[in-house]
Amino acid sequence: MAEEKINDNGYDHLIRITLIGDNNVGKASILKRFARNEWDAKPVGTSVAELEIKTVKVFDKTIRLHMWSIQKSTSNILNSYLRGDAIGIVYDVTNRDSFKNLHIWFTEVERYARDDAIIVLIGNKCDLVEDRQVSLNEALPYAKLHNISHIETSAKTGAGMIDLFGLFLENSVKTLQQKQNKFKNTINVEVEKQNRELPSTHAKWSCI
Amino acid sequence: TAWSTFFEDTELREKIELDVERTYPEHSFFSSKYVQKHLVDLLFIYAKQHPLISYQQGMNELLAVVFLVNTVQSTLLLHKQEDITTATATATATVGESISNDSQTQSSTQSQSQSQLQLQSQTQTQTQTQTQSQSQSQLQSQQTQLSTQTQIQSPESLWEIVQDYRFIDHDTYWLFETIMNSMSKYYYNNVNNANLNATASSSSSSSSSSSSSSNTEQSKAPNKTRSRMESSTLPPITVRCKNIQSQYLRQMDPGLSQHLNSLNIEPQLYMLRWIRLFFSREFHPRDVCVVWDSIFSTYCEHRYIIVKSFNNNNNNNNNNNNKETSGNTDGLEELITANKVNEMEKQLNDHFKEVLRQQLDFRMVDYTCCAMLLFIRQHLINSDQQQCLSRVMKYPPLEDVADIVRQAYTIKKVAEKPLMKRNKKEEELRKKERDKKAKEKARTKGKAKGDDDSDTELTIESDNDEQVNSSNNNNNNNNNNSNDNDNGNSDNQRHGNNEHVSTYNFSDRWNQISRTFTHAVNTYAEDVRKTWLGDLSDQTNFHRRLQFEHALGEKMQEILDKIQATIKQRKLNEYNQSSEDQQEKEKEKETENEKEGEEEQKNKQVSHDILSPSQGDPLMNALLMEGDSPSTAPLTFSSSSSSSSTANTNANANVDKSIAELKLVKDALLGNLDESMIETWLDFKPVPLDVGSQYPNPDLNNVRPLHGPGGLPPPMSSKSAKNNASSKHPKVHQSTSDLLFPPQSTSV
Repeated sequence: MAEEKINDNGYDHLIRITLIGDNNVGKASILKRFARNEWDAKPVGTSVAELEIKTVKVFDKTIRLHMWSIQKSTSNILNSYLRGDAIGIVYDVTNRDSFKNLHIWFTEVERYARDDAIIVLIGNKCDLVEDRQVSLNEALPYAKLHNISHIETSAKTGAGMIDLFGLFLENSVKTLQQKQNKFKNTINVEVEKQNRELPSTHAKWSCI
Repeated sequence: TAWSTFFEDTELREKIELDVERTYPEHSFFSSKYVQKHLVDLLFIYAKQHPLISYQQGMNELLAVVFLVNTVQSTLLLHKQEDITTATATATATVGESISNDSQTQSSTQSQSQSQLQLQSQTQTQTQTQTQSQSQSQLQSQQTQLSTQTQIQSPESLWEIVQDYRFIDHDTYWLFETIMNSMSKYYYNNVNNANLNATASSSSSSSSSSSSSSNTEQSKAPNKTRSRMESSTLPPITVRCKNIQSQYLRQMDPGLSQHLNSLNIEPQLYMLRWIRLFFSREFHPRDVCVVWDSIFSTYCEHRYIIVKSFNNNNNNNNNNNNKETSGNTDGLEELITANKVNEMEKQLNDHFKEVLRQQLDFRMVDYTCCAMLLFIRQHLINSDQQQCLSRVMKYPPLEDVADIVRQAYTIKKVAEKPLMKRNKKEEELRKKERDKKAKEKARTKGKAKGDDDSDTELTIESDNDEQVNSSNNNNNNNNNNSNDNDNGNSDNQRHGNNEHVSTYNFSDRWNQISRTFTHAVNTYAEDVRKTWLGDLSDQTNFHRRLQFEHALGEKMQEILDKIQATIKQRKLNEYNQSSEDQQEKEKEKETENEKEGEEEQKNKQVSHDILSPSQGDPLMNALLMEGDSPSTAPLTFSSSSSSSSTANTNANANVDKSIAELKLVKDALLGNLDESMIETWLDFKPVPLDVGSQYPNPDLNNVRPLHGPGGLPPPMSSKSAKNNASSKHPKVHQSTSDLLFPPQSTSV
């Protein structure tokens, strides 16, 4: 859940990102690449759930990211984690089944996710050009159908990582600030005036 | 249809393979193709035998540890054999020819894993130079086989039977299945999800019924009750996790529990992994073994408590219906073996079965979870939510896992005190004589699990002693002695803990559990393969063989129990001889350490008090002695042969006889004997096999029968179907993963 800065925690906002998807599509690898810039050719299979933490700076706010990758068989136990700020549904572009199974995950998300959650469709392993089984021409209409963004990434090369997490951050910060405004509207009108305007175009954000 | 099951199986296999490849990738042992193939096979068979659970992620981790331990143990045995093999080297040349090709291939693969194991198990292996060529180790394993057949008379030969490297797979499977019997419900829960149900196989009709009920609930009150519905259909794992955090932890450390709850940290997030995998991801493999050690040792103990309370129940019922239950209690008084326990379990009513299931839940896991949280208390108590989360999600490496185990034992003591007290009260109500006898027998049963490594077993012993001593005390002294008793017990307990954690010899105990059913699993695997190939025309034969081997396994356990009883008897005799010496020794100890000496003396007096009415009963004495005098030298067969007392020679004869019987059983398992002869000896009567009873899920009606429609892949209803299948399969393959060709048509 998004939280206001209360004490000296070292951050202003906490954003929770959850990645879901079939087994072995590379959820944990994406997070690992982004959080630690590492990549394992033979990753340990995620058991139950894994957590990566990273702190980034967006505008002038420090934002801490809690990034979860949730194992398939435990999603219903951990469904509270689908109520985070952002959800990435991951499929493997070299594995047709993982694309076919996306509808399972969408029902899951529709059932548990918050209304204002940011949902992104992620096609991982796009560096494996020869083994590709799911083309962009299929994936894009599918994403449009569900009215969500689509991004292709590669945890191995790091392609698409910036785009993906930029998307997550931008949108979630937007919703956060909207929320803040609403909240402050009801409490105090004066504070609202001091609030900055939201930048409309690409946000400048950097890793700490 | 046959084709659809075939595709399902291939898919399942691929899924398992994917996960097995990712199991412990940092360990060279698990990266070998040989080990991976075995793990996949075992998981696949388990999934087919338990269609409701099928395969879930996480099982591979459990199985991997079990497999590793079994392999290490068997390999160690091979090394011990080196001394003996020089003596029997000449005999090997003749026998080596008669050994089948099958065992030879197996031994070669064995040597592969052996070399890899050397890297793994340096903590456990003695210093052995690993420069053996493959042919050498092959020869060596043949010699092992030889010596198991020839040198039955030494106590080590028992281990050779139990630890036979040829049965690693079967041991592993059986252990795994035993664990999963208790754990499967924590893996099962996800099938309840209505959404995932669409892809779940049709076999899980129970889940569909439950999901439909939840759907109706949802439709009745669409929006508001969503959260309520979730809470009402909480999966068992969530309940358990919450129980740990809010009950056990609160008992031990209310502050920490409060802190975690206030931070809104859901326990199932991190504990789910701890519980499901038995901590195999949290610690170093070596430490994992120590933790598992404590888990399984207390498992037996819980079982024992349950049986006892069940006996009480029966006694209460006895007042009403004498005839039905008297047979039970009589059987208990004869000897509680594992068989009897199983028989009784079958006769339990539903309510009691539920209690049993809860009790057999590897409680030690809960305590260990709690201990782990307490261990990092300093980190947790001062940090906010996200620091806490990252701390529990990535548990810090430990210097010594023994601290946690020790902590877990103290938690166990606190948490189970009410249980013990209740038991005592119930016992007081019963007649004294029956009480004593039952305890004594139950004690032999509890002991049966860990007699060979009596040094490591002290924890169990001390716990059981606690019960026996205290309840007996109550009988004699009418409850006034409880304070003295507690002192002595705590001393015992402390001592036992130290002993326990200092010795890492855990796998002995497992293998005592695993000594049965090994061959049965092997035959099952073979027959599954045969069914695939269409060779098995008569399936009743298969049924019969399976049951025959179960019976053999039970017989084997019976014999082993008998041997252990005799060993105990002899221990007593030795004790009687050396008791005076020991008292002198204790006086010496007193000068060294006054307190401990006093306490021991107290215990001694107590036990002598109890002894006096039942001097004639040797077993009883043995039971009481062991708790007091852990310093008695571990018993070996050689030492007993030197002692001249008649009782010992009697015991020797008994043991020899039992070992001869054991040999017979082994021969029967290996198929060297005429089965009909053994059947009369066993009183073997084939019964129709009921697979459903093995599975602990409450909805037993929907379990697929083993050989029913859609049971074994692919169903062989008629000869024509067989012909069709064989025509579609131009080649016969050993593993399904080799079948890569696409189907020409999907049969309906």
